Amino acid sequence: MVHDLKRFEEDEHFLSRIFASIQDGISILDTDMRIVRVNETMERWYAHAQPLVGKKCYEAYHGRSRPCEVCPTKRTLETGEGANDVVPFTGPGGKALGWIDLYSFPLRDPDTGALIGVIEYVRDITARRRAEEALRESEKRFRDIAESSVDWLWEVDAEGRYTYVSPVVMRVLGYSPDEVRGKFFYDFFHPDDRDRLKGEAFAAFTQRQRFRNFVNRNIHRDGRTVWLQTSGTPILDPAGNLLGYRGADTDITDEIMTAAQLKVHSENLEQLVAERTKEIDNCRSDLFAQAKLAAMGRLGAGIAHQLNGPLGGGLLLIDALAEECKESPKQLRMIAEARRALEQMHGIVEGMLSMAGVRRRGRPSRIRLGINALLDGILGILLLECTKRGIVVEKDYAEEIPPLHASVGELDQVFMNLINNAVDAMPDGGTLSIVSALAGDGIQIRVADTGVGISHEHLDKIFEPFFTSRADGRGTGLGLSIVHEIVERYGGRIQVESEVGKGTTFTVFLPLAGAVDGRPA
Amino acid sequence: MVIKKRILVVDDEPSVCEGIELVLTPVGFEVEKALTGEEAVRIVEQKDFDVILMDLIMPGMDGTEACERIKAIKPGTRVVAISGSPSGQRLDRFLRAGGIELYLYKPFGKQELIDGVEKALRGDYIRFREDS
Repeated sequence: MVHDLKRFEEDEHFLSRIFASIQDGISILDTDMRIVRVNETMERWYAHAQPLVGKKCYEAYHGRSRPCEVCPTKRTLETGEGANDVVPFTGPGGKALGWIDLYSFPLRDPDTGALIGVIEYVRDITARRRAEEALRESEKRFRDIAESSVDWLWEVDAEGRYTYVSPVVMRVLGYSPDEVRGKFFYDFFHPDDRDRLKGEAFAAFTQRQRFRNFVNRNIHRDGRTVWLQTSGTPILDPAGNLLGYRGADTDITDEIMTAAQLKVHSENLEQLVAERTKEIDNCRSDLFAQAKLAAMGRLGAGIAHQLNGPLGGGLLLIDALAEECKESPKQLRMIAEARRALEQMHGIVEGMLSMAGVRRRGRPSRIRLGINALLDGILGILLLECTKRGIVVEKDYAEEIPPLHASVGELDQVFMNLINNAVDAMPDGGTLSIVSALAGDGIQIRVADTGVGISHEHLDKIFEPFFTSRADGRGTGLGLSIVHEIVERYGGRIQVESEVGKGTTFTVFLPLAGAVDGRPA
Repeated sequence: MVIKKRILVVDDEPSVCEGIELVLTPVGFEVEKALTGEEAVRIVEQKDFDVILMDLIMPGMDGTEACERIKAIKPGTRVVAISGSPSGQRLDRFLRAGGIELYLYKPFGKQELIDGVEKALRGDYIRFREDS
């Protein structure tokens, strides 16, 4: 055997240089698998098993007493062909330290062609193997994460076409990864938002920026709206060219809907608060009006006492005087007129009390009174004001009206309110028209002005207590409600017609019969 | 001979006292006047009256107290309250204190006054306690 290898010795020097320079391991074995020669790399790798030459390869390299099961050298010896296998790299004590890629080549006698040995070429692939394993592990980790994540993970190319889609997309958009792959990310956007969102996304693409929490509205396969929050990172080649993006989408539909509902609730709440505040405001102005009235009531009660004393004295004195002047009709007429004046003063005091809600136990005394004279009395009081404002007064009285049995104070209050309102409605002049007439079994009195008028919405409310259209707080809001109450007390009716800018007409009907029997209970 | 009925008017307003005297005297009453509650009590201590017309609100001793004292001195005296005050509270207090027979609201005329006094004399009235 040694003899057969002689030829190599001629080139010994040259070959040994090559042999030593190779950084992979080389062993030369005889047909008995005994090591004949090794290079320096083998000596370094298997330093723990030195000396190597003379030992069987499985003893030296694997610490075994018999050939290994998987062994390309064994196959080469059997077949005469080259063979290759990955086998363990075994350290001291038979411990596997890594992997080697083992190539075996047949060594033949150049003359006879007979197999005389095997060249083993050994490459340490431990590092590569570990890298591959790490890569596999990493891929598995990614797949596990991608599939178990709540978020949908994806990758698109530089045009925005999906190249990877995690299976979560099925749950998020209702499509399988296969259906989504190859589509563009904007294909799923809500049509109303598509152009805008696409523009914003590609703006980020050209900047090659990482983006976070990009909110976009998408359409699920079943047609419903899905709100997604997208974050992504650019994929760049080593030269910095954009290859695409990868990232994750979170389904935030529930949050958006909850926020929308919350907004609706909060708006409802605000509206409710506004309504309640308005109610409170109304209550407050009602209270204010009532407080004003209470003050008026107290004042009225005081004035009533103060005035009713001397008024009572005056009335008695006038009655006594009338007794003295029985013989002179002229004096009696004057006395009657003076008595009427005192009655009217009393009526004003009563009106004040009535307006303030103070009810007396007694009743204002009723007398037979002519309505025309009463109207004239009121016009007399307001004449100066009418002249000042340039108001023309037109009177049309029916002469044959029988007297009413009524309280001067009460009827004074009714027509004083109506005529005063009419004058108030004509700050820049106009025509005040007062008409009295017999109407069936009663009297009809019409008070009309050509003033500012009352709006339709106010017209329904003017007889309600506390209603006033005067913003300055001058009105008590009681005048017309008292008018209404008194007219009803007499079994009468009151009507109003008005047109804004044209004027207002009040029509009062008072029954003659009902009034004679006195006040209804 | 007919014995004239005696009336006492108590009111701090002189025109009322004067007016009542001028109305009632010609129709056959004998009228005396007092301008304060104190004065009324002094007069009642010395003389008897059939009816007292009593104002309620007066400076010094008011009608309530005067009525109380008069009822204590002369329990049979009938009192007609005359007042322009509509205050129910004050009236109630007056009723509890004195026990009046009638109430006349000021202002009143001749006929109302005569009717009121005659009602008081006849005992033709409903007691206020029941009325209220």
